[in-house]
Amino acid sequence: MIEFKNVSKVYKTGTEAVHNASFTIEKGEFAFLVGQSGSGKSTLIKLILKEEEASSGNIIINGKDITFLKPKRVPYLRRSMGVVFQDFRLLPDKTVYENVAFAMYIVKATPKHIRRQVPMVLALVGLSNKAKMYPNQLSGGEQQRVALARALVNNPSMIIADEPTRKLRSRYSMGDYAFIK
Amino acid sequence: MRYNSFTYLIVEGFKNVMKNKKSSMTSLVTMICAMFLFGAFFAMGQNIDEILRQVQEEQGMQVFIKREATDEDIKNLKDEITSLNGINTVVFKSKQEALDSMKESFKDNPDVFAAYEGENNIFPDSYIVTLTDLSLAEDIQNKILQFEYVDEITSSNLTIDTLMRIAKGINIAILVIFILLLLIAVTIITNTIKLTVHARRKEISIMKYVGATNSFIRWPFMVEGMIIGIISASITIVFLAGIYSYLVSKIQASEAFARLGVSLLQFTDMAQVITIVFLILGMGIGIVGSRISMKKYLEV
Ligand SMILES: Nc1ncnc2c1ncn2[C@@H]1O[C@H](COP(=O)(O)OP(=O)(O)O)[C@@H](O)[C@H]1O
Ligand SMILES: [Mg+2]
Repeated sequence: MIEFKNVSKVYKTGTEAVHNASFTIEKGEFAFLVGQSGSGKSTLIKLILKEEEASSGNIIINGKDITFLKPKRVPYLRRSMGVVFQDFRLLPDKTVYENVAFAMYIVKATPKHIRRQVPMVLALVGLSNKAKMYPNQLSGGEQQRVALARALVNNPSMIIADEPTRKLRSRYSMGDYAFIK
Repeated sequence: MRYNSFTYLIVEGFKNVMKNKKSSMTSLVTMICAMFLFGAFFAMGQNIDEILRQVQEEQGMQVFIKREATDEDIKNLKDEITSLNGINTVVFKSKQEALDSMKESFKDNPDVFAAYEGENNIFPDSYIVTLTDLSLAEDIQNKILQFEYVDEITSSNLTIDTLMRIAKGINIAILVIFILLLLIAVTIITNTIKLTVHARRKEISIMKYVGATNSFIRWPFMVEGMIIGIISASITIVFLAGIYSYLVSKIQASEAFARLGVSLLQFTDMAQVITIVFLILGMGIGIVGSRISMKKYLEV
């Protein structure tokens, strides 16, 4: 569950990217956030991940107010959700397989579990035959699917994707979405 | 790549070292110089301690016994001296022996002592006392003076005082060098790791965004520092052993040294301590260096 209570974000530059946002996304819900470019969609995701701090208001995730989350706990917050970043954030010197396996490695999954799970999600996103390639050898859409595979691989309770439809070259961006199992 | 944690760390650590060949080399060379300096002073200090110990066991005092003492009194005095703390040996030197050794040193002029033979011997009986610990010399001297039938005591503590002062100075120098070495090493390793961290900052931030903990990210960089530390330690030890053994064999072969009647330590006598200190140093520096250099980049 994600809940925003009067959340605002003003960047150091003075830009107010999010203004007084309040909403709730319940368990099992599939939510879209639509808006023009520059309207603050990515900022909102950054707030959820504590990549940026909210200037005011409260963000509650799975019943916990993350405003006062200790820095030590932030990695665990990030692990609880699978995120497809707008810029994908793939490791350039690791293969597709390694990029996905990596997310499991950092949560200390067993090698056996990793060997079973990674090919499965790669098949799910249709990249089984590109497992040994490096991100710069893939198209933008394929890179995005690697990022999606990485987001899915640890079976997170929420999936958040930033501009998931942009690579479809649709005339209208569908914006961001969050899906909570 | 297999995500087995040990292989992962070693592979990533070596990758870091290789990514920055130039700065890794620079820090390797500087570390070797610093460690070598420390090793050299350490070896010097150890040898001075050793020589001091050897000299101490030989140097001692001569306790002259009053003429009126009977054989029984003289024997009792020996027991009294022996029972003191810090005594190495107590050897009796009779007046006849004293006279003989005087005659020996004036053997070109044997007539000088002719008048002192037998009944006329003016030399007193004495004990030659050697100590296990020269720092107790004064204390022991005062105690012996209080025993009955002790006339006077002569001792030659001059050289030893000087040696002890030198040893103390060298030990302080070693400590100072050790601290300097530590500071130099931490600075160098920190800077080297900083370069690698900077080169991999994007990767680090991505790791953080997908939920890696700081310690997980830090480990390969610690290993990088440890690899540099351990390699420099190993090279330094080999150099040190070679140069030291060569110098010791040269010194001990010299005539001037042979006359001193002391022996130097072999490298193997010190190898264990040096190895342990260097390896702990190498690893410790890796850990501290990576912590300092990564601080800024982990705050995302
Ligand atoms: N790190 C930043 N520093 C300052 N301003 C920023 C930063 N990131 C985004 N912005 C500004 O905040 C606004 C919202 O950006 P963003 O959240 O990326 O929008 P969207 O994802 O909806 O396109 C924009 O005006 C952008 O210029
Ligand atoms: Mg955006």
